[in-house]
Amino acid sequence: METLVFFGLAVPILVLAVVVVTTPHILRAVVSLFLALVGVAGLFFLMRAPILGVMQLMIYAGGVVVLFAFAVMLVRRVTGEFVRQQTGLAGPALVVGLLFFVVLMGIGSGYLAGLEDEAAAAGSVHPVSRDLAERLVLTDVPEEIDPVEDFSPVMIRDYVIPFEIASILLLVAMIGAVLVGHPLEQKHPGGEIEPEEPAEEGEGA
Amino acid sequence: MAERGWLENWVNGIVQPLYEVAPWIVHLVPILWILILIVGSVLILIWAERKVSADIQSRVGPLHHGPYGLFQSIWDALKLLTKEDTIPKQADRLVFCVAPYIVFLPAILAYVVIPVGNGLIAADLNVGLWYLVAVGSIAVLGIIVAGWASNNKWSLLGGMRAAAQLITYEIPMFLSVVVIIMMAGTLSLDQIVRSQSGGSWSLAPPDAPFLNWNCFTLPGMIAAVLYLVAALAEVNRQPFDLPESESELVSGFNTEYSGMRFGIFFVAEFSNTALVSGIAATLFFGGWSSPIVSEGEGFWRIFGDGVLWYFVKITILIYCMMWVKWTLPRVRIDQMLQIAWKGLIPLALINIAIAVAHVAWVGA
Amino acid sequence: MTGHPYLQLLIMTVGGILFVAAAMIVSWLLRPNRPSEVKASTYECGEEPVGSAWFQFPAQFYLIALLFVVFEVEAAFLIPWALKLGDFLHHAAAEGVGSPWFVVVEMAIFLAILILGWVYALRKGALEWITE
Repeated sequence: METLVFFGLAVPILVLAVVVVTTPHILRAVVSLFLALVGVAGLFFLMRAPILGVMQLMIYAGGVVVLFAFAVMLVRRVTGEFVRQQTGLAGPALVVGLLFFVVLMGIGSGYLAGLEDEAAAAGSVHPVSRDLAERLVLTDVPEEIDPVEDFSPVMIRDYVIPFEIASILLLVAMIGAVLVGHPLEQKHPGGEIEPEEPAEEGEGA
Repeated sequence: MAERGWLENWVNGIVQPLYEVAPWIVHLVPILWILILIVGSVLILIWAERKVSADIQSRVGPLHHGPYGLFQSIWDALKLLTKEDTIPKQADRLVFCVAPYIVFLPAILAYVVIPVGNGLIAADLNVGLWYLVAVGSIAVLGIIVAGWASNNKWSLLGGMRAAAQLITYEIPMFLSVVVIIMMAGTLSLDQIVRSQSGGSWSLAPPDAPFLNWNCFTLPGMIAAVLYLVAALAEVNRQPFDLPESESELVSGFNTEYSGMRFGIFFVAEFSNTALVSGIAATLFFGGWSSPIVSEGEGFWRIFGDGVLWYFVKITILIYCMMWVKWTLPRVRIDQMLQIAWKGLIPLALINIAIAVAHVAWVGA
Repeated sequence: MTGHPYLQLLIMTVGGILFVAAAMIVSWLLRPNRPSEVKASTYECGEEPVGSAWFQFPAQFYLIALLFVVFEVEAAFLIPWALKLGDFLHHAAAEGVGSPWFVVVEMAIFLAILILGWVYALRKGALEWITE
């Protein structure tokens, strides 16, 4: 049943992700991205990772997609019109994407192998299956682990320095936001604002 | 005891066999009562909105359908159901049709973690309150794309204003909710309610259990005010109704919507009004716990902890929201931003410092 | 599956979609359908619409959204801290930190850096609504 739900979420997510990069309607791309991100949040909940789930909903589906929508509105050329998404670099992009996939899978399976060794050393508490879907979904989380309660001490006590550095990162983001988005900073004649933040839209599209 | 006999027959005759054939059916009970709750509260709120506004403006309000015009909303619903549905030919039809789903889903998903009564909670999630604020933040996109897909200037302006307002007021909302998490030490809304019905360490006299409510602590009181102001903005009510200001934007993001598609937006909006009142009641005013007696006897039993008090509390809160709506003028967009960025957010950050002191001295 | 802690979320999502779809279907069965050219035109209070509504928006909206994302991430960091604050303050040793004030100072530094950003935005006038 959980495997069924997993594929019920994963297949639409992949389809929507493909729509995001292929549709010429920028509006449909934004909606597809949003739905795909909500679906990923569903996957996190399915994997009993509620903190990742709520963060995904709150920051990605509720924040970043809105940011993309606003960024798109800034540029008159693309709002509501057809945009050409393919740039002739599909081949290299595919190669880079596949390489990234391989790297991720390498890290992931290395981590899972580590988990298996640990389980074996501890007298095989929960053997991890070979099947990928089962690996991701059906692994039993021991009852005594509360992902919510156990998250805070780790964040506050064990990772103090990354935690504080995160705030500096946020400060930089805020200053950048003011510099980029402030109308008075951009001396635009005649109400014409030059299209900016191509990197931001690249991520969105 | 005739009533009990009837109920027993019903349970033994229908519910029991059904349960034996399909035990998973119990999981569908929460969605049934949540849908009934949403539809029921929306129907009552539409009538109440009209009656309260009429009362404040010295009018009579709906009168003809049913006693005191009570059935007015049912006729409204039927009207929306039977109205022709038009989609402008300039619009992006696909997204135009998807937007109502995106706006409605958060309204129903949020109810999963709201404790309406003692044990009356669909799922007491371990991330309850966090999940609640997260789900509340995803309706924004539905509003943006509803306005955007309409390809109408009013709709797009309304959608963008709504989005700017919703995301701005989510920040003080989060920060006031954080204070409750600090004081309660849990994310489960059920436990947040229980933490407000007193404990062995409680200072409140036994005949005044309401003194345990979060709103009677200093940080809780400030957080309650912050939350209620932000909640007004979150449900687009006056004075924060500039996303749909009738006098300038026709109807805002849903201008082009008609028939049942408009009806869904309407249901989501009124259901959100009931929802934010419910969240405020749960976080700050003791939820379903009784302000008078927790375990009464005889006549007083009906005033004990339970569903009754949840509805009494949200009724009072909703009445206050309507009262504010028909009293205050609309803010401008620059004022809307000033109130949040220069008023509510600094106050919320100071309030977090106050809450640290509160938790340190009073105990968690 | 029935024991899954987040089963209700799935049921509510599916149920919510079905509810809206059911409302649409009932309405589709009941409502008349007499389309016309005028009905399908964009509503502009009776005027002929000029151009498309898909025009350029002020960069200010983008700025608001950026600041929102920053503060939202901040709130996401605050919640786990707030959840265990009481435990850390009153049972510091059991939670494995030396002093109960460690967590308070930690969050104070975190917030101070962010408030610095808020002051910067305030001084730059980024929190005002600029009308041209």
